[in-house]
Amino acid sequence: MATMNALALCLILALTAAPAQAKERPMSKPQEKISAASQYTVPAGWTASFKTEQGDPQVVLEKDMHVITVRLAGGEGSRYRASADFLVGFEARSPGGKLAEKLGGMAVAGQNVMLYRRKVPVALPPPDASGPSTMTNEEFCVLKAGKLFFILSYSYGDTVPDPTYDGLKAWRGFLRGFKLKK
Amino acid sequence: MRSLKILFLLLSLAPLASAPARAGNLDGLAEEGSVLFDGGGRYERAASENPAPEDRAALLAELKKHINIDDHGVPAEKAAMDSLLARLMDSKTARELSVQFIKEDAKVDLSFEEIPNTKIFTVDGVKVFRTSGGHTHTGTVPPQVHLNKAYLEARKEDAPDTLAHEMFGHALERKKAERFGVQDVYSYDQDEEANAGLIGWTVGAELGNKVEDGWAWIYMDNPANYHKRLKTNLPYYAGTLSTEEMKDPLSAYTKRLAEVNKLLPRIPIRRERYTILLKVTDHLPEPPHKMEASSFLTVREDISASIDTLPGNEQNLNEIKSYLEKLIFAYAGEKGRAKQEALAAKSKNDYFTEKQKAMEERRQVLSGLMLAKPNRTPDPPKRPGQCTWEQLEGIWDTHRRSTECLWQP
Repeated sequence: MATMNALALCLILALTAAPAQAKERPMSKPQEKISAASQYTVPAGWTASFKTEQGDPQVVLEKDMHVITVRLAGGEGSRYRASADFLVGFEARSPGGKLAEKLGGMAVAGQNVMLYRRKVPVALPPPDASGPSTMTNEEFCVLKAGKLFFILSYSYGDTVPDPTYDGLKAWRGFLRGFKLKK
Repeated sequence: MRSLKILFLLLSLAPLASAPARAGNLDGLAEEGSVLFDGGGRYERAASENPAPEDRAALLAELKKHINIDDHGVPAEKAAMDSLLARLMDSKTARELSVQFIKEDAKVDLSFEEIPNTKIFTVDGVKVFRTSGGHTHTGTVPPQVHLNKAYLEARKEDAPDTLAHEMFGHALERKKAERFGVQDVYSYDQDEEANAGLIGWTVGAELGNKVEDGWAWIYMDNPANYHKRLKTNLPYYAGTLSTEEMKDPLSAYTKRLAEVNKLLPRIPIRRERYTILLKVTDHLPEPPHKMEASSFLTVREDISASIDTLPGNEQNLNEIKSYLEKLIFAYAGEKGRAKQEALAAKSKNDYFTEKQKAMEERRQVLSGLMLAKPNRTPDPPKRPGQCTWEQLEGIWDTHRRSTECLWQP
């Protein structure tokens, strides 16, 4: 009887769950594009928000100052036509223009990709003053996705690392779980 | 920026007067209001890539007719300002903007002024100062450009960039805004600072200066990120809007206030994290680890410096919050609706479209200049024997997983 009750409960839950899913808000355009081309797991405790920036659909995963960005570039309206353009542009350089440092290869979604690191500003003086900016590191890699390409990146928004959470570990784990949809 | 305290005040609650749009032909306006320096293609020749010296000199002479230099009775100040204006003629962008300045019949008062709290100090044998380089009072007729008097002694190579930023970026822009009938709202435009920034950076790069301003690199990296960061840098910028946001400022300010409210709770979180790391660096030299205490000197200095910034960050965010609350109040209700409608109507003015087009062209030019000469200077030498952040994180991670020492911060 206990088993039957459990089965009945499961059935009720399944039946009630279906209409609830149907009521979910429709996907935004950037969400549709990212979801159509990739599959990934949001790390536990992180939030996800979608936007279009620099002409590219993007999902921004955040856990306070830890940020992972998934950006689908190379499409219509994108700043870049090819990943090679991105890799020589401003977004692959540290302030001052130095190209991002190559950290080494890594397998992501079945591709061998190069992991890069560059400096990005955390805090800047007011625009009319000339004091130094403080920097943090951003790690990123580029992944081919048919005619398009993904730019995956991680940074922690402070110069001093977070002793309470290993964001880099979460990032590397995210990369290992990232998949492309055919 | 650089005078934006005044704009900040003006912005806070200024009513939006409705002036008719009257964008017109620049040459026609120049004939009405300015002394043409001789026509016959001389503007084009002077603004070209390699103008003849006489065209360059004629342009400078004509530009000076639109400028009043207040030297406070000190001839050296006039000489320094004359020298800066002459230096601008070495930049193609500055020459083009000089022609625009003349054709718009813009006028400006220039002077070197004391900027509060400015201290000149020496870094690597070079005299520098870190306060504002100058500002423009756009509410006066004519606008007044004040350059920091410290430029007479320090950072002299940066002074032409700042002068171009202020005179062509802010004072000339005011005149253009008047021509289009948007002088009462143009300072709401988030591109007001970005445009002046682009002008200063481009002129500097054309004069052979390395573009080291972090804001320039952020802007070229991602303009949206530049605007987002600027809006949490000073209250005035928090009140600026994109033309899209001008259509519904109340909603934009409300969203922005929510973002600031998200940033404020991070201050105590950061303080707590810094304190943990300080305790870790206190602990590691003790048994059983017995690591060299002096190897944590650099990371401890970084942590202390970060702790020192927190009160200022918090105060700044609170000031931004108060400012946004005032703006939300001003734009709410029946009275606010009229302001919203006036701003929304003016956001469609051609002034903004033309400005964005000019900025995009300038961005392309600057992109070429910045990427042609990237900074290849190696990082400064590090203090020997110091633990890096990566090493400290590794040590701390191992410590947390080890059962050898059960100490917790």
